[in-house]
Amino acid sequence: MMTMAPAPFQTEVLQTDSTNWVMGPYHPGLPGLMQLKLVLDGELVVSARTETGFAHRGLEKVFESEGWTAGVLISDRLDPEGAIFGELAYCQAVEDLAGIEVSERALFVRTLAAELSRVVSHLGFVARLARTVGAETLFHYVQRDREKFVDLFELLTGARFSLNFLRMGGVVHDVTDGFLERVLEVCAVMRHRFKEYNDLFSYNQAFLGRARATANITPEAAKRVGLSGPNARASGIAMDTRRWAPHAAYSKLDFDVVMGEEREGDCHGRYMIRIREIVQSMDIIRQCSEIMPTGSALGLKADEKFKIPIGEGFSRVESSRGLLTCHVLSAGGERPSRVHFRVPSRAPLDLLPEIIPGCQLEDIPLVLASLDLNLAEIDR
Amino acid sequence: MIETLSKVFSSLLILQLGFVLPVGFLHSYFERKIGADLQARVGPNRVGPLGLFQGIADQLKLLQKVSPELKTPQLALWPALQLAALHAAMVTVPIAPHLLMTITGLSILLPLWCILMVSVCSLLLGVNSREFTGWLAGLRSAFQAISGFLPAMISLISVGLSAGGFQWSNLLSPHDSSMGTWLMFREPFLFVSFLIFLASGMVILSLPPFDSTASGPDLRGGLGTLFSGRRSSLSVIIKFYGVLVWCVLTVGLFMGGWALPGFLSSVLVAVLGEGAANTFAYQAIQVFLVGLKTLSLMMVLGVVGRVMPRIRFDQVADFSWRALGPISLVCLMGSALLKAGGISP
Repeated sequence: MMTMAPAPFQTEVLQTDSTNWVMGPYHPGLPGLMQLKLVLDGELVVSARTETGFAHRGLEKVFESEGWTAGVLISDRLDPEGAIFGELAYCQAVEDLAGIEVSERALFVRTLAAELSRVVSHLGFVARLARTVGAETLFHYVQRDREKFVDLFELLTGARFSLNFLRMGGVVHDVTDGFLERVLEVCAVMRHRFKEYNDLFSYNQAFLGRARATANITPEAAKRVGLSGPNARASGIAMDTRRWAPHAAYSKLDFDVVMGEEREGDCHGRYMIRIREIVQSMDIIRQCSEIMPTGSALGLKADEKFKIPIGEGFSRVESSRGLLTCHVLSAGGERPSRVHFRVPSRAPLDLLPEIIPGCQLEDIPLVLASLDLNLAEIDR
Repeated sequence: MIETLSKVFSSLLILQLGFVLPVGFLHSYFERKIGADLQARVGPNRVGPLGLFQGIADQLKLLQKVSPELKTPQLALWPALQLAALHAAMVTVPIAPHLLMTITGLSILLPLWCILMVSVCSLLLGVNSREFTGWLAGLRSAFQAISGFLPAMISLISVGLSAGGFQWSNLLSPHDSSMGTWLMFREPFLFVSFLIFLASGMVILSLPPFDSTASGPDLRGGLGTLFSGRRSSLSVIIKFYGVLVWCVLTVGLFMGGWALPGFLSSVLVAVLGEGAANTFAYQAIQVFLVGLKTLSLMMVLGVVGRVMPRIRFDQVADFSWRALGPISLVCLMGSALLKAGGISP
């Protein structure tokens, strides 16, 4: 009779391997349609890879099938939150190519619209960032104030988003009576709001505990990937296209490059620099209102068919997210033969796999929000 | 036997209809209204006069929805156990002397164990969710509960030490409880213990701003979104019940519980006679008073949650172990010294 040998004692081993988790393409913590492929050790991020292209629209290709003026409307869609920057980059590039003169007043109106757009975009940034850390109260405060600036766009252009406001050589219609006074009123109210923001959130210990020394970007890393705008300035790189290659009416205005005074290159620094830039933008708006020249600001009519000579044009714009460039090629026809944009959100996205490791999983939405990525302009 | 059962049943009925439902109704309204006011919004103003019935409308809407099939049968078990544990806690918390169904030498510890049961069930709920986000939320919940439990227990011991026992009868006198005689104002260490106990409850129950278990941006809502349809109303009820139990417990421990202020007690005795404490009117006023204090405390927690940004779960645990725990120990020693020195009454 056979006897069964007792089963050997097996030691239970606790599996402590790393975990793979793919965030997205649809996830409330992501800034848009993208994937973040994470390797986690517990809740600590070990490595990360990004994947985009889920909402590619072939935007640059659309320019080639439409007329020169229709390009303004298409460039609106580059960054829906800061529509004016896409328009400005495109119009300036075409003006550079065709040698179209822009009136002095139009330059100031464009600058005014650009700075209003910067305020709206930065306030949107603050609202999104507040939401990632559960600061719903600040989110509502910011949305309340942002609405007032969006109302100004309605007064100026008739639209709240997708403005379609610029034209080659100027703007589609001049500022109406009382508009500048209304802008100054809104800015005056907004100045008082910052104390509220700072008391409630900016220097709140709970927020500081999460945002300080999180996902730091060194100046070397920022230069390597071509980081620009507030993200670069928060890392100590004093680069602002409005100063080193002034466009629109910036050369006639008095302002400095806003630099980070907080710890360099962390989430809190990136937040604070945008708060300061809102204040600066309101100062620029005030200057524009005070020294706005008289004359006509109108550009070429939308229904005017015109040909642009053979050649290429290039423009740089300091958008709310950083350096936005536009390169236009013309074969001499009624439509562009190629339009290409260099968008500011690409560089921070490329930097993401470098700065996320070491962060807690819970902080990933905060880091993404602090970089102010715009997937619409990346997946253009 | 039948008499005992009928007494228990009637007590439970009074507890639910006379306390839990009115507090829940008022809480759902005022929490939203005050929260909206803080956030520069209007808040509920459509359903019923001044929007009073918004909470009821929301629950009715949830109950009308179809619940999809659960991924695992355990997902139905753990919320049911949570609810059972919270119901069990309700019969041991001090709402009125005649509604206390369990009187033991360790009465004030029983609700705490029930709350711990809720946290254990949250862990199991997350583990059984078959979702990575649910799994993380469950672990975070357990992690926070363990870290918050220690300071809560130490604060409770401070209270027991000062009161001379762990029975509600040691803590709550039936008469004369003006604010000055509340345990939290008796000596400074007990006031700190009160704050620690309240904060520990927020940590254990994962209330905002310590609600990383229900974080939207990273965990897609965590444990709160494991259920959909009408089952999601269950998670709302469990959350409310948890806060309610903790606040009633805090009121009983530190804020005089059911004891009426001296002048009110005298007036009632003068009006109702010597046996006033056994009359319905007297007991109804006691329940009303506990309800009022509980509601106020729940509002305070709600405001804190609305105003503060969410704190990361490891920072919450750090805060509990490094701040709440040691401070509660210091308070315990301070209370003990005051008691031994005869300084504390």
